[in-house]
Amino acid sequence: MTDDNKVPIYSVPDLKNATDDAIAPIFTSLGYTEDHTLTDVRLGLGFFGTAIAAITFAADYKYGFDSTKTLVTVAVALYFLVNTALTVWVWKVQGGVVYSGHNGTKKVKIASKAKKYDPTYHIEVTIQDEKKAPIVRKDDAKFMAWFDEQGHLVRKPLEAFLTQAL
Amino acid sequence: MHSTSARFQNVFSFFTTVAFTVAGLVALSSFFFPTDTVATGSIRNVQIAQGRQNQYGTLGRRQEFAHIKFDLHTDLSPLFHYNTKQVFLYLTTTYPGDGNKYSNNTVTIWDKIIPNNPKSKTKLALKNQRAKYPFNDIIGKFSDRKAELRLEYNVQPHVGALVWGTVKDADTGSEVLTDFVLEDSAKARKAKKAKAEAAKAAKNAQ
Amino acid sequence: MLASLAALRPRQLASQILSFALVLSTAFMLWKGLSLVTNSPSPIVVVLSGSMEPAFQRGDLLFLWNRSPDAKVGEIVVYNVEGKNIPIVHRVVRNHQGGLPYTKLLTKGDNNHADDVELYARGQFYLNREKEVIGSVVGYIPFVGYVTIMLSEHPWLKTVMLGIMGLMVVLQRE
Repeated sequence: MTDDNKVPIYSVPDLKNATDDAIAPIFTSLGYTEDHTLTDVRLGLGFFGTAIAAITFAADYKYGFDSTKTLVTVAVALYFLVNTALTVWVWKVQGGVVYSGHNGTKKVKIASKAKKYDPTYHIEVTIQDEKKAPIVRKDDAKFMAWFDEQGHLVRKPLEAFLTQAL
Repeated sequence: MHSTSARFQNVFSFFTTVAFTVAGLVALSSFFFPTDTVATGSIRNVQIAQGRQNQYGTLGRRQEFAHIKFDLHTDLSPLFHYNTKQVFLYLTTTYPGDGNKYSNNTVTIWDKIIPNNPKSKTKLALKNQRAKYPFNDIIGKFSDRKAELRLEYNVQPHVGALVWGTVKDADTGSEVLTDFVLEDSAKARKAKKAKAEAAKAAKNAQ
Repeated sequence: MLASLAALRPRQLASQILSFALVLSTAFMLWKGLSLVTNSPSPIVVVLSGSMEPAFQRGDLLFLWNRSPDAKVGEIVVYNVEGKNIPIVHRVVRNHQGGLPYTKLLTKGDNNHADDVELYARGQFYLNREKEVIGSVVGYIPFVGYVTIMLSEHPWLKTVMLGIMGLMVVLQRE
């Protein structure tokens, strides 16, 4: 059987994804509650778009090209509008945010970045205490700090890296 | 396993990107070859034999046919460049309607495929060439309508847009290379018979 | 592999499914968009027979345009005879129009000796431009469509390809 938690250590995107995924559980154990708004809006927009496409497909299949022309014109326009909104949301609003949460008094947002051939994990942490202006901090570390040679993620060093960034 | 498939994907997408870019450039470059004014030619000595006959097969009814022979000279070499796969050359007759229906009619009477290879002749000199296809009208009779002959071509590229054009007369520059009358064959035969009888009568009277 | 899918949190699973669905739906909507612009129910077709050789071979890709109410002699049209569900790509050799509700066409494959009357419906001698023609060929890319011929001739390939595609999109991110 293959070990599902193993990550190929020469693939930067895989290392980044595994690290991104590990952040939320760590914050949960630190007493933070995750805020899913960003993801939910993205999912909502995306599935709304695919629903439009599905309806178009069904109508086209059932009634044919000529009698569905008007409907399909509207649907195609709407679809690409929704798709543009989705792209804008992912690039401008979400912008690499992999975690967003709060622990009562403090709001935390983490965006991550990694270059294709450079095994360095860059994070940008936005911390906002109640009624204060948000503080933005940047930090980076090599992936090898929390991956072992087989490609397993070790939680302790990653947790240390994150708490230090806070 | 991951890196093998990723590498394969990268190579494959690189290959397709290069192939499509080259194809796109080739297709675009064809637009720089002028094709509409360059091919010239002429059609002379058109002979038409007409008659009523039965056509076999699906259009099996008694109707008028025109049998055309022509001389054709043309130089199509300007149409052949590196993105020409073949030139489809075709001779069309265009004639008006007889009544309210079918006011515009175009019928292909001859065609030729000239592939782009060194063995193909791009200059044609045909003498007494017989039309390739039977020429009859949709209503079964010609009733003295006047027809125009045009020599047209379709340049098929290796990749990209298909181009159509009309060969212009080498002397006049006109797209109509020649015209002729599609006689009413019954009337023509009657006239011929009457003429022969008149001649006979004149001979007898002498 | 299924275990790794099950291990995903619901939002992550939804994201993976969404990225797969978006690939499919965007491809479909682009196709529909092209269909609307060209006014043809099938703006790109793959050549299935050798009846237009040497111009078109099996597997060549053709781009259609269907905004002209006419189809001139010499144009290559794709038509679907009513009641027969096989699109045919052939050249127009006769065109009769004027004083009619629609233009009448006769077609023929460059590589065929006879015209297409045999291919039309019983008792039909001419095509109806408006109803039966789905577009005129304006652009050409050789060979690229051969995949679809392979897929239709070996249906199991379709299953395999769809399966691989689905797994790759669901399991891989980015």
